[in-house]
Formats: sequence, structure tokens, C-alpha cells
Amino acid sequence: MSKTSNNHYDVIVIGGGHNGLVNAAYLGKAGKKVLVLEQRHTVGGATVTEEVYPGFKFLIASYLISLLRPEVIQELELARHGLEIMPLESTFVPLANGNYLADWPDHEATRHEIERHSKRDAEAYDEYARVMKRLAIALRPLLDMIPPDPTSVTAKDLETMARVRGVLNNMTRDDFHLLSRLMTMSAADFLDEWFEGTALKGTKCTSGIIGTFMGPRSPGTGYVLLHHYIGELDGTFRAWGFARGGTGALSQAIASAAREAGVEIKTNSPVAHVNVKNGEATGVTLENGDEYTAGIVVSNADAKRTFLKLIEPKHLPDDFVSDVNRFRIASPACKVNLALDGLPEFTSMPKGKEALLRGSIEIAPSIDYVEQAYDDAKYGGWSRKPFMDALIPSLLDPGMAPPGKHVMSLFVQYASSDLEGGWNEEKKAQFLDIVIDTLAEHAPNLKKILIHKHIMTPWDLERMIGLTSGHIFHGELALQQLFFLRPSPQWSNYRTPIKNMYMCGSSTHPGGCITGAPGRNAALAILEDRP
Amino acid sequence: MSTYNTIILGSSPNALTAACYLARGGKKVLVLEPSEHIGGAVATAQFADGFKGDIGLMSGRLETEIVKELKLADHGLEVIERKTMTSLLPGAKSFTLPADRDAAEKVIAGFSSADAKKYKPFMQLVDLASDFLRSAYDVTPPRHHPPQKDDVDTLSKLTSQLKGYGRREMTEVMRLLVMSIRDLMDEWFVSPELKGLIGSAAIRGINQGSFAGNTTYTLLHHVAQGDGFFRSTAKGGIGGLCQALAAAAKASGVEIRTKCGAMSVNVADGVATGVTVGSDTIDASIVISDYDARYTFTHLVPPPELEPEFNRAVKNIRYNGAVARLNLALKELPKFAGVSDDALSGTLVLAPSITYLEKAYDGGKRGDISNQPYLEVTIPTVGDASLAPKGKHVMSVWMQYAPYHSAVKPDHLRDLVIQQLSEFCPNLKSLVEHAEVLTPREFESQFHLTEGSLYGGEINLTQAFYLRPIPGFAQYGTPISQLYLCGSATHPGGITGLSGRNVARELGVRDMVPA
Repeated sequence: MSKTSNNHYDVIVIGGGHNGLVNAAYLGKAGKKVLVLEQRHTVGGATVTEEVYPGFKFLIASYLISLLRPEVIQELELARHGLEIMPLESTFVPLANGNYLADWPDHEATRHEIERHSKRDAEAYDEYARVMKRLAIALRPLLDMIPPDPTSVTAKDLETMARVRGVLNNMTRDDFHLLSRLMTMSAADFLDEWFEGTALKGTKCTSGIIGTFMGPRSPGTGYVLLHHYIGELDGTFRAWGFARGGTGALSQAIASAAREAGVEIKTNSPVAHVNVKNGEATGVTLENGDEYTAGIVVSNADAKRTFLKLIEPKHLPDDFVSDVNRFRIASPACKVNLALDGLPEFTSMPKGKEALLRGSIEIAPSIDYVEQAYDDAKYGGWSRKPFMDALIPSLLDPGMAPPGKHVMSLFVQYASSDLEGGWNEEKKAQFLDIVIDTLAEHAPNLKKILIHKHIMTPWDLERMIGLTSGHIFHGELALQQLFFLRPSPQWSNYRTPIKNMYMCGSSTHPGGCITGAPGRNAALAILEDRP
Repeated sequence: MSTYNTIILGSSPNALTAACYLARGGKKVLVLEPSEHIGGAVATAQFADGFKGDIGLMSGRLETEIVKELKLADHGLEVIERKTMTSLLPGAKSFTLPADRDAAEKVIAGFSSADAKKYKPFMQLVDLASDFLRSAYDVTPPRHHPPQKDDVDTLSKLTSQLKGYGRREMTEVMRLLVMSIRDLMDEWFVSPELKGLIGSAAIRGINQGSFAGNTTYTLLHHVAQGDGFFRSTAKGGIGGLCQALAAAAKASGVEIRTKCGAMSVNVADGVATGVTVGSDTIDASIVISDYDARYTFTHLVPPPELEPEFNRAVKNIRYNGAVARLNLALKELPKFAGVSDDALSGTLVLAPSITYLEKAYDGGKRGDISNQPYLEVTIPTVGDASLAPKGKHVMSVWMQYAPYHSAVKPDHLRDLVIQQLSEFCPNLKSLVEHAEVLTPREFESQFHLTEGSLYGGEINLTQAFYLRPIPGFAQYGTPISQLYLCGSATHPGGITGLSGRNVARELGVRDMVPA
């Protein structure tokens, strides 16, 4: 295809994941002519809802919204574009002894429930909730910041460093010390300092390991715990929400906002490579040979895919290539969806409490359980008894399944992306059976009502959606890969060693979950350079 | 009865170092040691007829400047270097890494040319990072938040050191501090045996595995203390460090009492006024505890003196002793298959891979003993014949993980270790005349080391710098006026004497070198 003006854009965004769409929408609103190129038939990347089995809508990858920046919702007017978030009503943790633990967004209700297990924990919970909220509020400004380079002496970096110091200096000494400890310790140690209840610590520790290939006893998981606490929804901390229509509906809403801002979105358009001339990105070539030129190229793909597959290494400095190579991205997360002919009946759910099915159902009865799940997988295996965070979306949005039937969505850890001997269809089926067997121990009618089962392993997340190693956060949330080190020192500000080339995916600060923050921050960085 | 200005409870190298500098500063100092050994657990004692073995740590180095300033060579300190590390590998194989980096590169080239090329650059990065830590260890951690003038001075000196490394190196050093040793080894090397050998220093003395975040900090800590890879001890065993310090202290007028009997700190109106030892009450204007924070505040100080918040912080300190120590009295020098006699003067390490170390910890974290433990072995008699009867030898073994909370049986532990080592030294069992086994339980009951932690609290990033031993109390003072801490429990941790020297500085001693 010849280069015509029709194929020229101000900005090309590679990948229509939620961050790519957010980035495009902001740039479109700023008056840029933007093209989004998505390899699949639909936008959203890992933020999609798909009818894998007729009549049932599956959340094949991401499933809940918790960290979506309120600025993104407001500035892109996502509600007007159809986004409706239903706060998650509860968490239900079935226990082996027939008991259960529940929690609700309402502090007092949760406190009562905790008191049923431990009076001491109920008292500690008040202070715990206050402290975590304080730390989350204190750190929140960092999420929306283009990270500074602490080695740089440019006025801009010095000013941003001063803002970072300001964030820390605004904390009290006690909070600063607590933050220092929490950032470096394990979720298990931190929770042990607060609580005695096995089940309470089990369910709380899961915020420290979701999406990461670490066990709750590994230092570093304390940070992840806090990362998830920063999640905010209509002012409620640690509130998980479900988008009507599934997370795919969020992508559709952002896409709609983008289109309204003049953004062009092409699906079924996989990019083969970024074109680079004299150290400058000039555009992209699709796998079908089509070429598009642009003044700016933004990649929503993860750092490894972007710099090891879409760009020839000769265009990049050696240090940077080695930084990308060493970026840790091994992933333990799977997604399972079940089509059900009825509702699962949990043996530990008391009569009259069936409303708990509308919330999150967590198989995490203790820290030991979750740690064992990690241990089973960490040498290239999978959990014999996995940790799961389940949801029945059809109870919140009847449109997700045919009348009387249900969809159950399960986030499952751990199953190694580096499975010994590699993944194949047979191993997928084996692990899927383990997931169902484990869940059926708590809900014995599960197999009777099972119509269809579907699993996305790290292998599938990579080959279908393009996430390297299937990592849902585009790279581990390990301390050495955060803030000004994400994805690489000196290149944490969404810019890259290639002129006119930017990153806007979760490999950049502040990392994963459906935050929209990398997309928005990258747009701010681009508009700083090209107002 | 003489009166003292300062009483120090305990006699580790940090206590004795503090005593030396305080005496130089004109204080009248009394050191009290309840056990018979100066040094407490940092001592070398007879464990069988004519055989002497280190009790706790089996290597360690005093800070070079302290050795110079206190003229410890004149007081009998003779350092014995362990110039090699020998990695014991499955199938009775091994390789010996010399301290000399050119020579080490050649050894590594024997199994991995890629790793050989990277060895020196890696060690240079470790040098930068550990030099930075060393600077941080030489000062009292910042006191205030937000930082005030003195803190800003401390912090800006450290920051300019980092910046002086160059932009790339600066961020590399910062990354190192928070990385898991597995991640670091994967970034640099490919051969499991080199990763295991180097990586083992990152889990030494802690109850964490090699996959755990921040373990690289622990490695850098050991390196910063001169006790990283190529280690050292003293003539007469590790206790030789304390003997020399004690001699220097006595020469400066310090009084040292061993077997002093039970001790407690006297407190009146929130102020330490002295010590009760046995049936004696001794007044002093300053009391310094060499013991860890939990032992100090639950056993030495009357509990009602402390606020609940402080007690909670003390309770939250991670001790988690996980090291067992064995001293074996041997009939003759053991032969390790494929290991030269020269290498027996170094350290032998059973840490064939990062995965091996993590698997050893899998038991440890659940309170079980590792069936395939991480071992370090020295034969101190090779360099110092005075530790055993003529022709006979002592083998000293460091074993992880033997967690404090495990039901560890000393006999079982002894058999397990001997069996592990028999793969490399088949006749070991027949050489053993006597075995001494010390588990975390013994360290606690005999030497008052909480949960048997040989470092007065785990050496990890959560318990480092301004967070050690307790956030808000990293400047050696305590909530009790005139009561200070000086042991390995405090910043920076370890037995280099730096804690002791920092305390003396906090207490107003300015001239570290006598006029």
C-alpha cells in the first residue's frame, strides 16, 4: 500500500487495551488525530467480555474494577458513555469447618462479623482500617505522577522529586515508619502484627498476592497489599466494583469516549513492527503489510513485547535491551469461567445469607493455604488447592446469562507461566479439573449444575491477548520494578530511547489492574512534549 | 565499692567496643557478662576434651577503623582469612572459588564462560552497593521525620555518595537493595552452581528463602561487614575478637566481670539509675544493654515502665532464629572428595543452586527442619592448631533451616548433617569423637538471644537503618532515659563493633583516635 495522507496520523496507539484506549481518548480530546490498532476482533485487550459459550458472557481475563482512577471516569465522562459500576456488596470466605467469614463495605457490619470470630481482631480492625486508609490516601498522589528520575538534575525532575519528598514529609513520623515497614515486609508478617484469626488473615493476605508470583510470606507482598488498598471507588477504599456488562463494557465506554474525540479504532489489525528511522519512530507496519505513519507511536503492549518483538534491538541501547530482558514477568494467574444451570450451594453459607453470593467468594481460608498454593507452583507447577476469587456476574447483571442460568467467574492462582514441560490442552484440562474439584469441596452441587467450563491459563493469555507470559500486570509488582524503576531506570516517564515512541501500558508506573493511570499519565507526558 | 559512670550488660564485640571508646572519653565503665565467656555467644569454648569450638557465629570481622583506632593488633588480635569458598555439588563434585577475582574468573570459566565474563562486573556492583551500606552503617540513622538539620546532613552525604557512582550505577544500587537474590542471580548468571554459592550469603542467618524479596539486602549487609563471601576469623576462634577487645578495654581502665549472676536494670521515674546484679545494686548514670530489644525490655527492665505501643513494637520484631550450629571433634583431618587440602582452610558451602536453598526453606517456614539443609563448613584447626589436640581437628558447621519453632532434636540434627556431608567425606562419621549441637533453643536459654537469633533480630530490610531495632528508637536510646542499646540488635546489626562505636559517639565521645 502506498503512503497516502489517509494513512498518516498524529498518533498511533498499538493495542486497544483499556490503557491504550484511555491514552487515545485523552490525546484525541487534545486535538490529535489518533489511530488505535487492535489485533483482535474487539477492543479491550484483557478488559473484555466475550460470549465463549452461547448465551453466556464470560470475563475471560480481568473481572473487577477497583483501581480505576476517578479522574479518568470524570474527564472521559465514562458514565455518559455507558459505564455503570455496581459496587461489590460483600466478600464470602467459606471455611473447611463449615463456618465462614464475610465482609461488607460497611465497616460496622464487617466489624460485627469479625467479632464473631475474634473479639480482639474486631478491635484491631478499627485501627487497621484507619491506618490503611491513611497510608493509601498519603500515597495516592504518586499514582497520578509521571515518575521523576532521581539521577537527573533537570528542573522538571528536581521539581517532581521535591513533590515526592513532599508526599512523604506530609506523613507523620509513625506513619512514615509504618509505610517503610509495610513496603518491605511480607503481607503475612504485617497481618500477623494486627490479627489472630486464621480466616481473617487468609482473606486479607490475598490483596498482597493477586497477580504476583509471590507467596504471602514473601517480603514485597506488603506493598502489593497497599497497592490494592489505594483502589478507590466513589470514595470508598478497597471497594471492588462490577461493571454492568462485565469489564468489556468499560472498554466499550472508553472506546466510545475516544471515538467521540475523533479517535479512529481499527480492530483485526495486528502490528508486525514499529518503523524506526534514524532513531525516530515513524509509524508501524501491520502483519498484512499495511503501513501507517505517525509523528508519535505509543505502545500499549507490555515492555517485553514492545521492545523485544515489535522493535528491532539495533534501534535500542544495549543497557535498555538488557533492562527489558531482565524485567520479571513470570505469571501465576489463571481465569476460569463456568456456565451454570443454577446457583452453587455453599455448605457453609447459612440459610438467609444467600445475598452473600452476590459478592466476591474467596477460597483463601488461611495464610498457610495460600502459601501452600504458592509453594506448589513456584518451581514450575500448579497449586493442588488453588486460591480463588470468584464472582457470579449474572446475579448482578442478569444479561450475563440466559434466564435462570448463571455465569461464574474465577480468578485463580497459582499456575506457573513457566510450567515444567510447557502448557498444552491436556494440562489445561487437568488444572481446570483441579479448580472445579477445589470449588466443589465448598459447593458440592457445582458439578451437577455445570454446563460449560473455560480456562485462560498464562499460556492462553499470552497467545490470545498478547500478554507476555500472560502477566496480567505486564510485569511483576516487585519493588525493583516500581515507580521510577518501571519498566527501566531512566525510562519510567512513559518515554523511550526511541524518539517519538512512548509506552502507555501496565509495564509503566503505576502498574497493573484496571487503573487507566498509565494511559492517562502517558498522554500527559506526550502532551508535555507535543502540546 | 567503686562507682561507675557507665554499666554495660553483655560483652559482645559491640559492648566491648563501646566500652573502649567510652573509657577513652573518660568514663568509668563496668562490663557485666553472666556467662563464663567474654563475648557471650561470640566466643570460642571447649566442647570436648582439648577441643575448642565457636559457639554462635563462626566468622566475623571487626570494622577496620576500629581495629586501627583501638590498636587491637597490639592487644593480640590476629586475623585469619578464609581465602576460598568451595561449593559442594551433587555427585560428590565441587569447585573452589578463590578471593582473587582474576583467579576466580578462571575457575568459573571451567563451567560457564558466560558467567566468568560477568563475575568481575558483578563483584564491582556489589562493591559499590556494599560501600554505600558501609557508609550508612557508620552513622546514627536519621532521627526525625521530616528530616531535620542533622538528619539532612546524614542523608545528603549518603545521597551524594550514591550520585557519585554515576546515573546508571546509582539506580542499579537502589534496585539491589530490594531485590530477591533469585532475581539478582537470574539477571547476572546462568550456572546454577555459581548462583547457589553466591546467593547463599543472601539467606545466611535469616528465616527466608532465596525467592523472597529484599534478600539481596541481607547479602549486601554481610559483604558490607567484611563477612560476605570470603570470610575471616581470629586466632583462637571467633572469641579471639572479644579477647583482643577485652584486653584493649582493660588497658583503658574498663572493668569486666564474667559469671556475674542475674542482672536487671534499676529504673526510677523513667530513668535508669543502675543495675542489680546478683544481690548487689550498682549505681551508674548510664546503663547500656548489649542484649536484643525483646530480651532487654521483657527481662532486664521492669515491664510497667513501658507504654503499650512500645511493647507492641517490641513484640513485632522478627527474630526467627533458624540457624543450628555443630562443632565436631575429629580424630584427624577429613578428606573431601575432589577438594584440595588448601581449600580446607576456606569455607565449604552446600548450596548447589538457588532452588536448593528455597527448598531448604520450604520446611523452615512451616517450622520444620530442612531435610536437605544449606550448610557452611569450616575446619578452623587447619589455620589454627591451638583449637584441638595435636593431629586432631575441629569441624564447625552452620546449618539452615532449624527454625526456633521446630521440635528439633539435637541428635537427629547431628545425624542429618553428618549424613549430608558423608556424600563428600564418606568416612566422616567414623572420625567424629564428639559432637556439640546448638539449636536456636540453646542460644536462647544459654545466651538470652531471643528465639535464638544470632544477630539480635533478623537482618532484613524491614529491620534496617532507621527501623532497627524499633522504628523511632534507632538512635541507640530507649523510652527509658539513660538506658541505651548497643548490641547487634541496633543499627547496623552484626559484630563489627560499629554499633558500639556509634553509641559511644551518641554519648558524646568525639575523638575516636586518642590524642
